[in-house]
Amino acid sequence: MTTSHHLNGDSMPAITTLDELYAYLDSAMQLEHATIPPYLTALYSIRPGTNSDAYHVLRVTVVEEMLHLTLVANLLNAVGGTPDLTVAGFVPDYPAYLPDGERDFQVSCARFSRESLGTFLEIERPRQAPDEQSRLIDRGPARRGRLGSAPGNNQLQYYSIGEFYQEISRGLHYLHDLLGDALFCGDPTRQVGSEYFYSGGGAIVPVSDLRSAEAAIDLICEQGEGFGGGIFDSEGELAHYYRFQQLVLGRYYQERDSRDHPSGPHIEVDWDAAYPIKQNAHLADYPADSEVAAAAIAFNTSYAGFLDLLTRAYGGRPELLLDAVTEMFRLRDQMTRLIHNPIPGLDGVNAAPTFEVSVHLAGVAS
Amino acid sequence: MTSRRDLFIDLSVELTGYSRVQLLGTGMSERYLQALDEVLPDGMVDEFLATSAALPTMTIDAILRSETWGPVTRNIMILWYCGRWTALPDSWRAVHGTRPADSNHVISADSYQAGLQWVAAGAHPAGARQQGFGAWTVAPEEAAS
Repeated sequence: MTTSHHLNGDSMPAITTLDELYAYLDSAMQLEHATIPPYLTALYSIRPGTNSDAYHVLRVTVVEEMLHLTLVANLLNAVGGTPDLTVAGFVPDYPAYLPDGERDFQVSCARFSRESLGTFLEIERPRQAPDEQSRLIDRGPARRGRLGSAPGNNQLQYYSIGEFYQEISRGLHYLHDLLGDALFCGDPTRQVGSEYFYSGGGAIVPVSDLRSAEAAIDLICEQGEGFGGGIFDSEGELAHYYRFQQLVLGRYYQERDSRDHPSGPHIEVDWDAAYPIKQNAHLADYPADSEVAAAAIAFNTSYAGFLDLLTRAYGGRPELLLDAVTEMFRLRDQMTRLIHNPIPGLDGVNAAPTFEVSVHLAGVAS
Repeated sequence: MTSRRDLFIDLSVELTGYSRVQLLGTGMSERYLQALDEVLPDGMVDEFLATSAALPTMTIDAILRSETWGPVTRNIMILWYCGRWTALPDSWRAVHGTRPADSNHVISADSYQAGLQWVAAGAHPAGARQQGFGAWTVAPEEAAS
């Protein structure tokens, strides 16, 4: 979907102050990040030497989610906010709950399987609320791990990720009408540009005005769901939803294909060639003092350090993103080591990274 | 009952000096066990695993001196460290026969990268594994710890 003003533009947007805009953008960063652990877990659960097509599709998608995270950081920095990936609760306690229209659904850190691909399709599914009233849905009592909800009211969740960004876009327009270009008062040296973010699944957009802000939001939404209802984004790249769908349908899309009907080469997917990892693993699932527990703690410590590194990069030192790349490969090696290891005492269930970072953050934040 | 793979890992811990988690973490244990199965006559791998499990630890010297088990043991070490199979000596083949898989070869691209030689040397697998620009200035995980 696109972010042009739609529905009745006269209604009051949910974002009418800068603080509300910051809260929405903080929440957007959390949302973009929240898809990364499930995608990475599925990706690295694939057994070495198998499923090269699926591996590639997942890898490209997760790289684009990192682009989205950086685009939101640029947006937040442009309007004078401060991206912070180290705040308590930034990483959800999985399963997380994402919106999918009338209902929300559970997103888990799980092995590569038909079921996890089904969840990924739901994450990326294009959905537009049928009317203005349905854009915010009352999901009942607040719960941990609910994403895409209205900041300050965890009970109200947007109809879809697209609608959530639509609200941010409305807020940007509203505040721009109010404040003029003074809205974009952020320090331009905090913007991440292509010199520090490249080969990252699309061009990074430095944000300095309303137009570039819109371009950043459009890129995020189109890469997930496609442009204007099509299967490709405006850069001609297949949207995430349709990339994942290829694996389920067993065929690649090619030019001129219509949605749900890929007619390209066949894809072989070996659904069994993935390690049988513990779904939504927690440190408590591992015997205390076991080597696996130590490896899981080591990963969490590295991951907390990585989020801290990103926070510093987005906080005015974009050159640190070059170090972050090296760090990512280290995280990959730590993840695969866990995934390849059975949990002692549990026959046939392997370990997985737990992404429980808040406990360890204090020790590594600089 | 201990599974074949567990017996193989127990033995490999003794032979390599690396921990279970480290060895399983390479993702290569099943493939290496398969490499043994492809070369040794039927039943011989299980016999070897049973023999080694029955021995008290620190008797590796005895295994290495054995005409039957010595060459196989050395090959297992090379598997873990280099990710490659080395053809067994003619004297061994004369007694136990030859299988087509018993040739000098790298098991797979993954096994090359998973070799413990890189860990032991404190190096990244040369020319193989993505690590990011400038990563050569950063010590690998295992070397740093």
